Amino acid sequence: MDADPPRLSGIRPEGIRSVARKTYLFTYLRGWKVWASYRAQVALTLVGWLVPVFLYFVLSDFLGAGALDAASLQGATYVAFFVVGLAFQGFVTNLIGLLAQRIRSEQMMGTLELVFLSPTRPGSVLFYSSLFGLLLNLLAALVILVVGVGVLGVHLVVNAPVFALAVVLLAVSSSGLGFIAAAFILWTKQGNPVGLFFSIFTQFFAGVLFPVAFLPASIRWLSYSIPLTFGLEALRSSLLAGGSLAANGGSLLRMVAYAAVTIPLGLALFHWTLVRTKEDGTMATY
Amino acid sequence: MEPAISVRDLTKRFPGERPQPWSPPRSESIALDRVSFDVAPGEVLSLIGPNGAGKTTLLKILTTLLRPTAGSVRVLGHDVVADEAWVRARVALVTNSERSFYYRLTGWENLRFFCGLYNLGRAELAERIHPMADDLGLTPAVLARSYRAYSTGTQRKLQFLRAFVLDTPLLFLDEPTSSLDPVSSEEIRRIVQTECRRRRQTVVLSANNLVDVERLADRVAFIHHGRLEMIGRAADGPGPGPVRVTLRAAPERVDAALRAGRSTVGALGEWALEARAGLTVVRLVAENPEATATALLDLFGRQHLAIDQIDLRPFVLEEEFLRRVDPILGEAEEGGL
Repeated sequence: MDADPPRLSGIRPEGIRSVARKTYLFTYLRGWKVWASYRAQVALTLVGWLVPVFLYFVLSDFLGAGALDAASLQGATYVAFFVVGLAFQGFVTNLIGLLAQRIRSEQMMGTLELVFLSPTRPGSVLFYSSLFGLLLNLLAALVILVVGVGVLGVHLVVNAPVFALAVVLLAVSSSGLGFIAAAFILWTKQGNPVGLFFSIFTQFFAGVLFPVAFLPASIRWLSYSIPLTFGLEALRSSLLAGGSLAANGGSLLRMVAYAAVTIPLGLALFHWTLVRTKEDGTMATY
Repeated sequence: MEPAISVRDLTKRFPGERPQPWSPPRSESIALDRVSFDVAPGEVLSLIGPNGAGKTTLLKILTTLLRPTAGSVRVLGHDVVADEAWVRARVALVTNSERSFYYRLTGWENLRFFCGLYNLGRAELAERIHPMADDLGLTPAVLARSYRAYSTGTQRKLQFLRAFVLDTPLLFLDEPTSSLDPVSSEEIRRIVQTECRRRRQTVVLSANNLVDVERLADRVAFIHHGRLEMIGRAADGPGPGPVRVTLRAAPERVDAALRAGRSTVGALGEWALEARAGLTVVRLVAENPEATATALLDLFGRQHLAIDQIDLRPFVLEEEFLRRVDPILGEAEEGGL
């Protein structure tokens, strides 16, 4: 038997290049290329982004929502209000849903074990896996905003730095929920109830289609249990009224606080679930 | 020298089915029961045993995909639970499933993705896959095709390529030649025999194909009902060994030929005959198996008896396997000798 130590040429340190490489691998190769290969899905997704925008545009006229008091709509028109709401509601629910869906499909394809066998840490896998959902939904938000401005006549007065900060904080604060949803799927291996729940819950409670003030006072606190509510306040302010950092400080800080709680919680839950699947031997079970 | 792998009193129990994910399991099953062994650096160890014996479970624990219930497992001196991330960076696994790649990506894109998880960049990957990829028939044109268009054999080869290019100190192979044609199987064996030896990789393989075991392993570990029943050298090198010759002839003619040739073949010793579907199998143990096989070839040739097959070593494992797994069948095999 050879007494020399074995070669260790397979082991590479993490660095900026590896972060860039993994970003490319997770977002472009495993994210975009796989997603875009399902052409019918791409077409239906595009339609799915735009149909609610036109639906609520027609409904708002029919139900007289256009006559709502501008003060209750953060100084905007109702069309501008719901366009921003719809643009970023999908941003959050899909960010949460896509990550859970990714874990589920990796379980079904049998690739989950190989991904978690690699030296890339599970927390990093979750982070990189979130990026494609984030980019896809930034695209959706952009498409909806372009249609809102170009077709529905929404007028934007943008404070770009505050808007960018609000988008980043909304993404970060929502990703903790995404990690929790991913842990839930890894554990239960059942569909995507978390994504579905958030889609319905946020539409009703987060001030997507109507102001939170319109909800009965007894359940209004539920609106402030999700970061989207704060995010939409800051986004509408910075996109439609050029709201300053000082004017949006409260919403932005609440998102930071939300992220500080949900991200560690989501990572801890995912780690706990992963260990449990290694104990039960159910990581690749579906 | 510190072993590359050290396993002590390893026990793995799986919980039975849970009515709901949060419910307690209804029962429990033992997959591995107080298993202990070491693997030296650069050694090739083969795990054999019947289906469900615990071989794949053991491979998954060694690669951190499963956690032990009790006992300790150390890889290159590091505990697979406490130092899981350290161990993960030093192991590569070829699973026995083709479900381990993204169907909508090409072979090359899949390699890029999975090797990228080990921080292996495009240029180095392109450099490392040669000439192994060509040897496996994974030419640039094949790698440019979508994975979903691959045959099962090609899917398996891509798994090998992925594991080999990572060049980790430890390599784990689960059923390395299943789903492969004889030529491809031979190529995989050649790579393990030459490349892994050259790299001084420690290899643990689980195999049902005993030819793989005979050809590749330095030692064999026999696992049955989760217990390590035997661990020992795969081949004993020069010295007494078994010879098995299969002929297309009646047992009486074969027996007569052997009696007539006893003096010319030399230390032939006792032999046993077994008739099987128009064939006759001669089994014996010879002082020098290679020389005896050559002499028998000459003897049967002169008697115009058609030889179907000559085996020198593989049947030892096969019979040992049968003897341990199925005592009745094993005794019948022994009785034949």
